[in-house]
Amino acid sequence: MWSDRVQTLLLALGLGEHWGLAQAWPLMLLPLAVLPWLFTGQLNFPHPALQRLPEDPLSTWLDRVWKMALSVFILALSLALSGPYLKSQYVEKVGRGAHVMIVLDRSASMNESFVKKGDALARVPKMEVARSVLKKLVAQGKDDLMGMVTFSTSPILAAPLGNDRAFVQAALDATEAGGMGFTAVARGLGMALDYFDDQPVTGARAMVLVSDGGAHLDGKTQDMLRAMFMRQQASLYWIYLRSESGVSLKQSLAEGENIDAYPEYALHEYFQTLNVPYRVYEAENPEAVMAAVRDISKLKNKPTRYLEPVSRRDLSQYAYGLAWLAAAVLMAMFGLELKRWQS
Amino acid sequence: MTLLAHPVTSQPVQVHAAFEPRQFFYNINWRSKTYHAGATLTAHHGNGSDFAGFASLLACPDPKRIDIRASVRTVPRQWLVRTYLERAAIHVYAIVDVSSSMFFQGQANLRQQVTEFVSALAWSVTRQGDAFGMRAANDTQQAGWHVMPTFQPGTAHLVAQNITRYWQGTDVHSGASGQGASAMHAAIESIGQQRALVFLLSDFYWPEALMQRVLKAGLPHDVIPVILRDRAATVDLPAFGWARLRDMETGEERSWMLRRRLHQQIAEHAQQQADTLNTRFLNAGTRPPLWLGPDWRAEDVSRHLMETMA
Repeated sequence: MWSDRVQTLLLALGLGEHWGLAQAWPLMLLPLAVLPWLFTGQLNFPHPALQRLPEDPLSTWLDRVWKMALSVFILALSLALSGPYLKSQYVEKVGRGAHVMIVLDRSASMNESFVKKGDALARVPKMEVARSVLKKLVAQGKDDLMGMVTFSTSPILAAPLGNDRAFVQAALDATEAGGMGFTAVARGLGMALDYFDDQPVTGARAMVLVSDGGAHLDGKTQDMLRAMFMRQQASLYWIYLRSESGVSLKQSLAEGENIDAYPEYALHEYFQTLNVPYRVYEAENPEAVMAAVRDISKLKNKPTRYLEPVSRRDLSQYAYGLAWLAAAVLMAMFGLELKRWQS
Repeated sequence: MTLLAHPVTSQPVQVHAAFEPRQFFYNINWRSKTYHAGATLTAHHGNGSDFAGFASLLACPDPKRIDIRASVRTVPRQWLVRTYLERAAIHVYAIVDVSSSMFFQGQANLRQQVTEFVSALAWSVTRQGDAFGMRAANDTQQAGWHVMPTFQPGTAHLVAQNITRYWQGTDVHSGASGQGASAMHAAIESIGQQRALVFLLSDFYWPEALMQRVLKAGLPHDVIPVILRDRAATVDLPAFGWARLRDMETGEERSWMLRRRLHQQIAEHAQQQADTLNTRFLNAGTRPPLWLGPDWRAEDVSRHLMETMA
């Protein structure tokens, strides 16, 4: 009954909720800290008459400091032995960065350059342009969480959503190996959206789809993707690397043309029906790609409160530090102490 | 094995008993009331050499002291006889404070000093034909020090032996701590009301109440305070360092961070204490105190005693 009361009291005070002790028995050594105040076993010199001689405040305090240092030494050591720790807990943080999932097309067409003709400088592959620009995006924005999914025929997770920039950079470097296969946009987007699932909403969510072409989505996939976008509340930015022969999304289709012949256009139409913020950047050359990326990185992110888990922390090191400090004080005072009463 | 069997013999002898006679002289300006032949003037008439006055031959029938010239001048004629005062011995007491503070071991050994002075006093007193007596007290009177007034020539040796035996028998660390001097006034009272020359040996680190009682008890006597204070306690302190001190009598503890400023403060306090003590004795009507250093000389003591005869 008594221990119950103690526990309720502790909980009511908010103690014991956040910290714990590895061992309780060293706490029994705590009362030893009164010893320096009770016993005076230290060396002292006999003096015939102290009553009428001056009391020195500094000396009195030195004596107190000596006793306090001894007490602190004992207390700190017993505390350190008992091993206090902070329990794992959640720390409230304000998130400012965006969660950016890069969905990069690695289909074979990405190996081609924007223009068919021209000098070597103008004929860099679209992939290389996209890579260098995305690297800049990754390097910016310290608070952002980044992840990357590449897709061609099937999606591959390159880097999970996280704070590790080097990971993403390495994943981008890995795309130097040439692309292959078709453009399966839906599966890439689906996989990328999955990674928002476990993450707390600590910032704006953005999907950056980098691709040079579209793919036809059937009705079932369209519904599924739409539902996922709605659930994750992620906005979509599509950097459309248009090659010379590609269709422009800015112009509406001419009358009577079959929309199925232009999968990019169909995709664009579909994205507009997603009910999430959506923007498309149509880039015909490396400069345009760069402008699109700059635009994305400037996007304002809403500050969001979220709880971040902190792992259990050992506090005994502080107690050991305190004991060390007390020991240093004691050593200094021992050095100062007179060993012999001699003028 | 013998050492183990007799731990007393294994104890280092801190106070040696070598007695060297030192004589100093004292003089007093009051009259003795005893009848034992001695050097001090008394108030009663007798066979001395100090002229007291004339008396009628009938009152003092000693024809060999008839003063014819004085008798001629008398009207009506009668025979006058010269009368003289007797000289007698006085009682000289040493009253020793053996409280814990007297066990302080600084530069000099206070106990050694006490032994030397008291045995020299006993020697001088016996040589002058006076009676030497002794008392000692801490919180109780010490029976081992008790000496009734005696004229015996060997008193000094005996006293030196006794005192040395007492010092050696008292353990410095256990037996001698926590003892005050509260029986000092009782020790003085125990020598009786007849005026005597009293040497009061102490360090006089006394509370004011005790001081008052002792001085009051000493009022009937001619008191000479002999102050033994070790310089190591107040003046010759260690130059620098932190020390914890324990009062030998009260057990009070104090820490001193010795440095120049504290040295000055302590020295000032000590000087002030000395001045207060001198004034205190002056007001109480004792003789000026004799500050006895570790290297005292009999000549200096004689000089002090002669000069302060008032």
